[in-house]
Amino acid sequence: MHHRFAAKLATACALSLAFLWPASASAQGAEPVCNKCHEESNDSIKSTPHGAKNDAAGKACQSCHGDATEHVASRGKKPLADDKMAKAKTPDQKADACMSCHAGNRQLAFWESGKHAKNDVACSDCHSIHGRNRGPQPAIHTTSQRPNEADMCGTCHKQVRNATMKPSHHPILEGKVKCSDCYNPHGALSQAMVKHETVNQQCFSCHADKRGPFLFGHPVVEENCLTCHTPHGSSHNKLLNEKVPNLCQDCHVQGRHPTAYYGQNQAWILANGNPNTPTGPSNRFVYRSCLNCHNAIHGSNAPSNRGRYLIR
Amino acid sequence: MTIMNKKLISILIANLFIAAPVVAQDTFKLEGSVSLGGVSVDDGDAVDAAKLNQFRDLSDGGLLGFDLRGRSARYWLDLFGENVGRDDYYVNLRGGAYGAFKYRLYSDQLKHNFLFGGLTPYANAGGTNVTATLPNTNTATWNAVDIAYKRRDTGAMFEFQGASPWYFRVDGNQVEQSGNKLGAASGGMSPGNGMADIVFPTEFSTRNASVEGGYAAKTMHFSVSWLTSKFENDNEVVNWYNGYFKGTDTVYLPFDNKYSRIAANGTIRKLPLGSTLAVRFTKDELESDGFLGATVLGANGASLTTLPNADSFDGKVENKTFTVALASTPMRGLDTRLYYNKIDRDDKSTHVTFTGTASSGTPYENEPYSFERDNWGVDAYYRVNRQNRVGVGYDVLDIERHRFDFDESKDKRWFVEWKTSMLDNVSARVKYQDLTRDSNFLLANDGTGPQDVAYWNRFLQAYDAANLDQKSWKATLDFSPAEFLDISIEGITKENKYRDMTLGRLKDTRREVYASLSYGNPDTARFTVFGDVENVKYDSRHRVVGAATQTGARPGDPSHRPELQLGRHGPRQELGLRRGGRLPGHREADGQGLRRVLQDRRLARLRGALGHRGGDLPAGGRQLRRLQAHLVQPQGHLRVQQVAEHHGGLRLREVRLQGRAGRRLPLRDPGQRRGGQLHDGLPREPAVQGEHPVRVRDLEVLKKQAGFTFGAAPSGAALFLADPGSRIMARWRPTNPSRGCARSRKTSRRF
Repeated sequence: MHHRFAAKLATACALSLAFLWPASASAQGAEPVCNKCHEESNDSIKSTPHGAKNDAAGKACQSCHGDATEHVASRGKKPLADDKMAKAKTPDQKADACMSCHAGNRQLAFWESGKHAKNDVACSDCHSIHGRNRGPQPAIHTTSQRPNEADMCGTCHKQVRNATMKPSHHPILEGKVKCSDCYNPHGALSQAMVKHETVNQQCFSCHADKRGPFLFGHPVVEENCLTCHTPHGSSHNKLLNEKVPNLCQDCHVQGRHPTAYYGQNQAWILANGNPNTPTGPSNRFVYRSCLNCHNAIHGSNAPSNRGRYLIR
Repeated sequence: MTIMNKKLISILIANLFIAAPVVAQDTFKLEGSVSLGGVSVDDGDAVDAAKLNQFRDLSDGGLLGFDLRGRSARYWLDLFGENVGRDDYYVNLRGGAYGAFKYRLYSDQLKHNFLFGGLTPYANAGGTNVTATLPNTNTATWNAVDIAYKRRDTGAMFEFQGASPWYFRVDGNQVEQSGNKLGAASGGMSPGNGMADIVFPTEFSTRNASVEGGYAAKTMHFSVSWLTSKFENDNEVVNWYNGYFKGTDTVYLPFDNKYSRIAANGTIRKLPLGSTLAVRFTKDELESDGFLGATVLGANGASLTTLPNADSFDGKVENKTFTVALASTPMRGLDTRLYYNKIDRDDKSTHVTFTGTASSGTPYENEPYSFERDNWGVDAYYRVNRQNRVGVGYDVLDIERHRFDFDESKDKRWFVEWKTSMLDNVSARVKYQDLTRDSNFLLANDGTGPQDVAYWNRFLQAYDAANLDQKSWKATLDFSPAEFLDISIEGITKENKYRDMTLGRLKDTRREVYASLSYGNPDTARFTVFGDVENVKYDSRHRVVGAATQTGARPGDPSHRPELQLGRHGPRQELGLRRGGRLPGHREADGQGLRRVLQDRRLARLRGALGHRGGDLPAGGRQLRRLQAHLVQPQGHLRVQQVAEHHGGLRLREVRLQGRAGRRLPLRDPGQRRGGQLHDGLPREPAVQGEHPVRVRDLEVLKKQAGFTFGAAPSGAALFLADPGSRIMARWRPTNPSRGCARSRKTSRRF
């Protein structure tokens, strides 16, 4: 309780001091010359950090669109000499223009090593510097009005966009999980640009109850969550790659009960609708199948064979 | 809304007031919207109301939202809130001063609903002592239970950039999860002994904090960070009545754990050959401490001893990772990357052996699992000309596992791709990737002969580490035949073949096509249609031990083959053992996949009668077709979606229609209109020396909304109404610290 109070007090103090910090005025307090012709473009950035850094000469405008001296002198008759955002520029050239200012951003520390940089993704592919006002947001699955980040990422990652709409999914469409909660689109050194070092560390950052260490572990779980789960969406419960018991039996096909239900007096409902056994279908098919008994599939703290077989 | 969140909002508001005199020196313009509305959902006919409400709060009631933006030359502030007071609320405050600091304070909650109106013979479901008198087949006497939990994440961040390029950052958050979830446990030690569904409590709390400091400049970046995370579970065991063993049994839930990590990152740019060198090192430690149960429940309520050779379990896992990457541009148009990753996991948990009567003479011991992964690779992309770019890459992953079945595997992967935009308004990309995995299977010679039970082991391989050949193609075509019109098609094929497999997964294949059409005129509307067809198929092989005669379908009967393919959850083509020699007791299976599906559906009805919600969809492979029309324009949007999923005999269809209309008023700039002093287009007030003028603070509703959502299968409807009349002016009158009161001028934007 004391910790919570201290945390809130510290937060309140930090924010209060933050407001009082003598920040330097970065804006020059004048309308950029570009506004005379490109009023709409200027309107779109004047309330943004770019606008705050602009000046009468259009410093912020020219940092992206190149030297406008002749363009202004000719009253727009001469095109911009080196518009870094021109359509003819390659994605890396456009990214270079942004990086000329933003390279010092901690989020961009690994931009050059990331997959987006290597796959012709320019900053402007995702960031709309002169974007339109935020209008009504389509939200078919959600009551949220926030822009859905997955809509943006989904324009390229079509497979992922469709996966998020499957019956089992993270609350992405509902606006409670964003792509950037797990990935750093600005570059990372980890596989698939996840934020943490490994996939499991990434999953455990939210699912802390799964991280163990457990008395009895499940090696596949400890090595890679993705062996069984697909994070973006699945037709199977619990974001599983495949339906149980099939998924389990792709590895556990030894004797005894994992496969016994294929045999006599086990499980099957015959074509005539009658069970193959007078005692009814096997409970190894019911509901969660293997997980009916092996519920502690991520690891168990139960002693002896109860834990060894992940059944308590 | 909880007390904690009221306090949080109080802090947010308090800071706004504190900010007043400072902001006043530098005209601070605040704009935004307030939304008021209501929601009413009829889910009475929903197939699964819990699924409809899975992550949302659609209960009847009011909706409150706000979206404020404040800007000045020095400071910025964003305050957003939605669904305030509901189970899925979200409140977020961000702000800062350009080049000096930034901060964030947020609280986000969701409710994860699993089951509404379930029935259970157990009393106190969701508690830690679950009791019942069994058997009890009279469901009229069962207890109702809803299965759901709330998850609330509340946190803050502060980053100081005033001494740029040096920076300092603190993050902290607390995640509280409260509710329950569905679990289970076996009755006895054999599947024939039955099992029980048990509702487990999930009273979890996770507190995270991190500190990071570093140097971030254009040419280099260094940082050091420390993170700590503590997970606490209020209920580490659940006692429940076991009807088979006839006594009180115990299920163990996760112990408390503590995680800490230090990380160091570094990036140096502008190196020779246009290179950037990036390095990362992390070291983390995960610990959990728990007790070892001294007894377990046995048959007829007997208490069996476990006799562990340790007093307690001290879980401890250490991970170390090191990564280095060198990205270069050795010549014009050529981008290369060299990288190396190393991950060491060292499980130092207590090694425990149990030898009590519960073990029935067989000692049971845990197997702390460690592994090392070494990964290196190189890729290169060459821009032949502005329209064409080719890329190649090679990657090696070497894993050493301390595992009983595999101790080493090596993955070799290479790819080649071509991207072109030679044709006007057409962009295409083709990529081929090949992966080969060679593993060392330790059980390949297990067992002395067919009479030895260990002989089976040589035929069983886990597919996650087994020898593998993987081939995949990916092709993308983006086409813009007219202005504002975009057509995109993407195709993916992927095939995994597991070599030297006798039992288990043999191969899996994936065929997917995605298509979308979008028309978007920035001045009018955007219209998008997209759809996809997916076909995923898993093939595996299983053995069957049984008597020589079986009722029903005969082994290997070709007439049953189609059913087999349909049913086995679509994909499994073969259940019998067809190669690798005949094993003792082996029989080919009859494979009645279709019947399994029928069985699943029948059981679904049975589960309904018992109060269980339907479980997994009966499909291992699936075909998914989706068509979606989506119209968005500044005044609103309309979306129609049709989804059809085919799961081996089971079809799901869903049609949804949703629309919303609204009008966003243009951003007004009274400073410009009045010809006042311009300051980045924002109105500027003359600062009065020695006095803090009253700051500009008004809220104007810029958005009017009236809309609706309608869904069928699961059915439900929601009506949203906000600002149904003319424009609403909402005013906020903060107290001026220097004057003690606030003045208001109705027709002005200033107080």
